[in-house]
Amino acid sequence: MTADADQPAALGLEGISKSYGSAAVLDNVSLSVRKGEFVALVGPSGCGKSTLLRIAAGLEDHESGRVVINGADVTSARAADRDVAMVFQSYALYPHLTARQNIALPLVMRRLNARERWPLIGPLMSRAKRAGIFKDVADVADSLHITHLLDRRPSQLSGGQRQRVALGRAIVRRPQAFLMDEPLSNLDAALRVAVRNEIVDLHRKAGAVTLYVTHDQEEALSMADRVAVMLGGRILQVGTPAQVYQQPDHLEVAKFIGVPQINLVAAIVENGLAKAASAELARSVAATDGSRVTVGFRPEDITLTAEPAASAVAVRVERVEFLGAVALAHLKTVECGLTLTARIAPTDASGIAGLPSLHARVDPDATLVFGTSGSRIARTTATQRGLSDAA
Amino acid sequence: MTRRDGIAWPVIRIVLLGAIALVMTAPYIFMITTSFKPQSEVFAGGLNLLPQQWSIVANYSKAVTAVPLLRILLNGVIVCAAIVFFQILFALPAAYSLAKLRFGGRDIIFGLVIMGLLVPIHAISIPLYAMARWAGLLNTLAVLIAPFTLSVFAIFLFRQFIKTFPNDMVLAARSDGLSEAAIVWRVILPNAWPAASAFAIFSVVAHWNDLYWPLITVSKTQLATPPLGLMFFRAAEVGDDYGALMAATVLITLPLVLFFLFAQRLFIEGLTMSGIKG
Amino acid sequence: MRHEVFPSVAGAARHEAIAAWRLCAPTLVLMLLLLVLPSLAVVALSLTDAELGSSDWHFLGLSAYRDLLGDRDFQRAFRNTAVYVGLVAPASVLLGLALALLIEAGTTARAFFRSVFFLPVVSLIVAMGTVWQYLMHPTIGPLDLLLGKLGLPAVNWLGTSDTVLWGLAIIGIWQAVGFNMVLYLAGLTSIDRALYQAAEIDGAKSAWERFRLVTWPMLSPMTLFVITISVINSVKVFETVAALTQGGPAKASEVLLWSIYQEGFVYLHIGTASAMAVVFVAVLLVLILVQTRVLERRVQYQ
Repeated sequence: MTADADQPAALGLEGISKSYGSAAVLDNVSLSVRKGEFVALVGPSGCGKSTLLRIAAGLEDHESGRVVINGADVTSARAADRDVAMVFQSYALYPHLTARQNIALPLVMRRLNARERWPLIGPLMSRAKRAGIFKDVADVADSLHITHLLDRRPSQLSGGQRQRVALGRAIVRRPQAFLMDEPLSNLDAALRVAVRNEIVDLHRKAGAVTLYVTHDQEEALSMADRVAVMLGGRILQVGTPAQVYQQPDHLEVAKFIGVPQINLVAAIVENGLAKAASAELARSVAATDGSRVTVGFRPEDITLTAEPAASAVAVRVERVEFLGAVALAHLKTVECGLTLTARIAPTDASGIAGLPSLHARVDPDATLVFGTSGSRIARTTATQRGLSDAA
Repeated sequence: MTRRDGIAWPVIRIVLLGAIALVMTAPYIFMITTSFKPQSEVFAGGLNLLPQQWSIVANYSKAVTAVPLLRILLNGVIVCAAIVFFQILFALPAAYSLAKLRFGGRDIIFGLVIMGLLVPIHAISIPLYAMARWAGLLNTLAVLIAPFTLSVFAIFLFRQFIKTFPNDMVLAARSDGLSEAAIVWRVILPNAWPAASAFAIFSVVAHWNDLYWPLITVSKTQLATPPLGLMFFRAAEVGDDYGALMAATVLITLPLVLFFLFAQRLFIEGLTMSGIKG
Repeated sequence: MRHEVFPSVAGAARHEAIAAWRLCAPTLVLMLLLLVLPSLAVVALSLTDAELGSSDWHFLGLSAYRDLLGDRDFQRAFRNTAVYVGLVAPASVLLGLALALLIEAGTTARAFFRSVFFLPVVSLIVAMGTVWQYLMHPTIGPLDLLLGKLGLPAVNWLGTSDTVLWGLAIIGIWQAVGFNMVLYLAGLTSIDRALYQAAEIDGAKSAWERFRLVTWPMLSPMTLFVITISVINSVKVFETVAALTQGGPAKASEVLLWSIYQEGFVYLHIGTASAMAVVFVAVLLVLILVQTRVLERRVQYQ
């Protein structure tokens, strides 16, 4: 079930700014997550995404801006009062408590008062409440398939198991929002892919609001309803995975999203044509003559042909990478020595290096053009296949 | 804006810490100020810190002459330095053998190390004294150094540390043609520097303070170490001239304190590391 | 990790063993001379009534220990040491923890206070003990003068048998707090910050709750270590007694090590003194064993 775009934000960050001394870590950042939505906040290390998450949680101060949860302004509320749950990169499980006690803890802190929490007498005074708590814990453990691990301590659990306990601790509270700080980055690659799907499942079943931070763009694209790309303390673009991949608003977004990285060629505009190495790489570009632009096209957008063409450059094959389902040809242009990466069919992989002449061709209406500031430049005609102008 | 912590707590914390710090440093304050006062003023009592009359020269010169204070400090430096030198000299190869080599005696020797950790020098001081006397070594600097050249603590500490070195390091050195002894001094020592300096600090502080052994083996003032020297000073001055006594304590405490103030991090990290690893 | 760095080929293994023995040779000799032989000698002597300088001695066997343990003076030394340890160890551990918590609770002047509280650890015990003796002087000592200003009666700390152990304990605590504090500081800084954040999210709002949920459990291994070190160091008290009270007044501050020293090197009863030394080591052993067995079980989750 996808989020309804007309609904008010369940979790809203408005105009958040933060700096350490003179360095601005977050620059007037705004982001909203709607009810039932899974938003991934993605960017390279150091871009400020974890800081933004901690500010949403109430774990870090900021200089200006508001945090709103389900209509209530919680900016001045502390983390314990915000009814959000967080899953940490290092899981942050209490080493001296069993898995059961770890998951139960948020309920113990909230449902039992101070006296009922005293070591020996407390349990006697609150038998009914505790029974209720442990029933909830058992239910959550069941949904995460960790019932058999509940009596173990974190040091006796594997990384994947600890991660589930951390998830359990977050879920058991049924909070208003889930905040996840790179929860999968400590797991090995195979486990990561499996757990990814489970997290999205849990999110759907709980009908929850989730803000998920990661540096792995593949993770973000695969899991999220919407992706927010962040760089240098600013959010560069928010959109669906398809939007962010196919219509990046900014050069940095295009570079960050997509593996292998998008091909970028410096070009000069002449009569609306962006040309480089005597090839027409883009048509109907809304920019003045002589402007310098960067033209981008994904590896799968390159077609390799034997004959030259107007939108093609002569290339030489440097190396072919055989990846099983797909193969990548690393090319170098004959004229200026630019490096390009093209996706080819695995069956062509062996034969391609031996071809006498090879040209890399693109569709000049479908390439992406970015100006010197990095923003995408619009096309003047509306004849692009499936593309709309950058907003 | 978000919640900002109140101004109250940071202030309370500083005030509390400051008050406790004042109490902790009170002995030093009184030590120094009293060392400036003449005898008459000390005996008059009173809490005033600043002396009415200044008697610095008299007190300090008395401190330096009643016992050969500078000589005594020098003895302390020589003894502690020699002890550390020999301790590392003997302990490092043994620790390396225990950590990285296979030989029949390994378990026995390690057992002896554990035994040594449990038996303090005080317990075996009588036979050691008898040995020293029989060897004619009483009242020499050598006797102050000799029993401590074996430091099982050093062996234990270095062994733990060396065990964390990758075996490949040793294998590479061997294939370069180094003998085992060369490995110890050319490969292990440079890499064990943090542990070695940590231990050195620990050893210096412990032996600088040691009174028991010097007390029973040395009776000549010329050969005293600082703690013993101070005892002699007290005996010479029989509790009268507190001013000069304080001057003596200032002078005797100064070296290590100054060293500490210059190398604080080295000290603190060294002592905690030796403590935790050992 | 495997300890063997040679594959088990006969010649190489022998070569390795020879090298090892050679490297350990000085240590072995020293161990024999300075550890094994003296220890055996002490045990042997403890079973006799030997005296230094006299060749007339008798073998007493285990009755030497019976006599020793029944001896009033020895029992008193035992008691005094126990009282001293009971005063110094808990106080210096708790105070060390308190100071470490205070320092870590803020960001200002951490290094400054850390060094200030650590000063006593690097100051000569005998010297600072002397200073404290002056501070505690009944008539001219600033401490009693201060008490007088506060309207409290003066106490002859080191001069009366009722209070001498307290006086020595104050000095002992003063000297030990800094070391414990530094150990606790190391422990505190090694606690994963994310745990505190998780605690906050889970609803632990007050400093006390954070302490109970995160700080205290995570410090347990360090606490075990600090307690062990403090107890062992305070059992070994000697310098202050030797310099300030010489066991008095009226043997009220006679502690185990001082007794051993007196018995062996002043009265020259090296047989009795050796028996005392054996008991002393036994006490240390028991303390170490008790602490590692009993307390370590509760600290097993790292």
